[in-house]
Amino acid sequence: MNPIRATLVYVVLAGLFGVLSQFPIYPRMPEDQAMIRLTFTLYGDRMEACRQLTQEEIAKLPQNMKRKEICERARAPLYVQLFDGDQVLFDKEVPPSGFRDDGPSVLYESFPVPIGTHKLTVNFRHSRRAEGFDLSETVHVDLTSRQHLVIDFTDQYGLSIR
Amino acid sequence: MNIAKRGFGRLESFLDKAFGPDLNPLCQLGAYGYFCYWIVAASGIYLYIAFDTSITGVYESMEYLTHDQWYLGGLLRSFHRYASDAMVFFLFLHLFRELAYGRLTGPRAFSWMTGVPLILFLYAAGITGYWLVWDELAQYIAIKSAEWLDWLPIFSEPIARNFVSPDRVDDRFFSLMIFIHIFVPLFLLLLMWIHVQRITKPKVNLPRMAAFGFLGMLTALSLISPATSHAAADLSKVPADLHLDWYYLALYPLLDYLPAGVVWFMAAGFTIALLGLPALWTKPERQIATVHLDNCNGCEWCLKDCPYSAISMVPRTDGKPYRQQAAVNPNLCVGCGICAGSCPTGSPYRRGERLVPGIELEGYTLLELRDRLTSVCTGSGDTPKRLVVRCSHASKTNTEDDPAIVELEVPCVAMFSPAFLDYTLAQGLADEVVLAACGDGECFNRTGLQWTRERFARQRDPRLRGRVNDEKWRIVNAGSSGDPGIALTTEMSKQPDEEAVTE
Ligand code: HEM
Ligand code: SF4
Ligand code: SF4
Repeated sequence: MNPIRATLVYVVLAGLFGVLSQFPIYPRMPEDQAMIRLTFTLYGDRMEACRQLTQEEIAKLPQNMKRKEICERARAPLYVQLFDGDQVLFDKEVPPSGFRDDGPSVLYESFPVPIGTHKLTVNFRHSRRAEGFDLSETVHVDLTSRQHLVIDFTDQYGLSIR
Repeated sequence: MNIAKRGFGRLESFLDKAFGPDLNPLCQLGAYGYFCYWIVAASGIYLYIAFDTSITGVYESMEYLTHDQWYLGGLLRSFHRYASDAMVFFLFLHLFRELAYGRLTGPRAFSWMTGVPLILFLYAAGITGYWLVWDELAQYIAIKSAEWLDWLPIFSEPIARNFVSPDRVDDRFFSLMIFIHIFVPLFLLLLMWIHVQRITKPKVNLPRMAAFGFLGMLTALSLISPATSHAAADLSKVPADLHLDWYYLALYPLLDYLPAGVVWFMAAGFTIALLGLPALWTKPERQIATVHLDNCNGCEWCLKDCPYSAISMVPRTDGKPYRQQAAVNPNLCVGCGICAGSCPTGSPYRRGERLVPGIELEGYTLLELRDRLTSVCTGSGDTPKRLVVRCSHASKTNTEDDPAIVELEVPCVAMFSPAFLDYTLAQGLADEVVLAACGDGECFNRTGLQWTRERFARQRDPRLRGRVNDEKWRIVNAGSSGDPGIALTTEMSKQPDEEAVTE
């Protein structure tokens, strides 16, 4: 055993552990950027309206499955647009999930943008209509360095931008 | 691979000089892994008791431990972090070393294949650990991991949506993380135990001196550069300027630049490639040991010497008045021949066909060993001065230029028993014998060199007979950590122990 060399080895090891456990620093995002996150898990309207059953049809159903109306399970896709001023950030249909298209539409997207004031416009369609939107909103936000702005839709609260 | 092997050899011989062969860290990488595990476990228990397990209180409680209770909680936190990092370091060094020496085929594939899941579990443990501090780094990891997992089509609601706004993260999710962070390491320990099951006396305990040295190093590091947190998590901000722990988190930046699917593909590809490696590796030809019952008296010497637990003692089947007999499990036998060198009945003095020991290699019998010995030593007519008995994993010697030196290759120097040395000298086959082994820590068959040293030093059975002149033989390290030419140049006047350490 050579204590000087052994100490040297320990110093190198300590250096390896001490340094690589925190350096180099990962900047990840420039200071003059912020991030807009557009996300939701939301059911579109049903593809077809529920249909009232006639008395005869109800009579034909087995006893334990009697009901007044039947509903197709498939959901309409959601259609979402997001503009930053005139710039299009997102413009797509979000299809329903699930094997029979009966699940919610799920979206989780992020957009890095420069800091400063932005005019954000969100257009949103959840019904079966072919044109126009069920909801439109324009907000002015002042994004600070590395701010995380979330645009979310929930059944409960509707559209939230914060 | 040869370059890698030479690289490890260089490092090993350097470390031999620093620590001596017994404490050489490179020869104890597995034991270092275990030692780090115990440090992490012990410090983790304290942290778990001392910290607040709710997502709202955890950050403050870690700050308290780190700054106000730096002498205990802070120190243990640093131990917990740095020993975890060290574990990754030792794991990969251990993996590359086994790879460089090609110790992954045949029965050794068991150790290799059970090693691979250790990597995954270690990472799962480390990453969930960083989660628990709930600082900006934790936030980053939480979100990135969630986005990564969400790529799998198994979650109906994306997990990442848990982190889109502050009122969403709940204690339940946090408790799940704590649970994972405790149970994954417990499972890791179980796997570490399975990993060494096929090995006789695995080196899982660090020698005391090495343990103290390492603990001293950790303490110094922890005092100089204590583990700290980032700013508290804040979901309304994007965590940036992160002090990533590159041992555990080096792949996270990839998730910022590549689609999650590609990263899944890479991770799965790496794992599958590692698992498939033993099958793809060129397998060296493997002999298997076989027992000759007529000559086995059940003395257990071979059982004690087999490095791969391939030998067991079973009740006698041939009616001889011995209690037991040796049995070889061919699936575990790596064909090192160490058992042939250990059997008391393997004496070359026995005449002709009667040289059948209790146990030997099917493809390289002791009779063959004696015949080869005789032919290399008498082939040139004159008695050579020096016989080099070279382990097939040691550096080749260039004996052609010098008729006074001849070479005999064996699968492991430990197959050349003390009786063979005695025989070689007594019969005048050579004036002196050098056993060229493949190295101390790197012994391809784990313990071959160690047993040889002990047998020749008359400390282990079968012992070298007292009448043999110790000036006539030497054991040298001719492996990649030693000196390739040493078998030719060693002087007999030096003490055997001086040769062991390549100064
Ligand atoms: C937590 C991590 C690990 C620990 C604590 C560990 C520990 C050990 C120990 C104590 C031994 C016995 C060494 C001896 O006494 O000769 C060993 C052998 C071995 N390990 Fe690991 N190991 C780990 C990870 C791995 C990994 C990731 C691999 C490769 C994928 C691996 C491959 C091997 C092989 C091939 C051997 C057998 C060597 C031989 O047959 O001579 N280990 N390990
Ligand atoms: S060393 Fe030889 S005699 Fe002893 S148990 Fe093994 S095979 Fe039998
Ligand atoms: S050859 Fe080696 S591995 Fe096989 S039984 Fe003998 S000592 Fe064990």
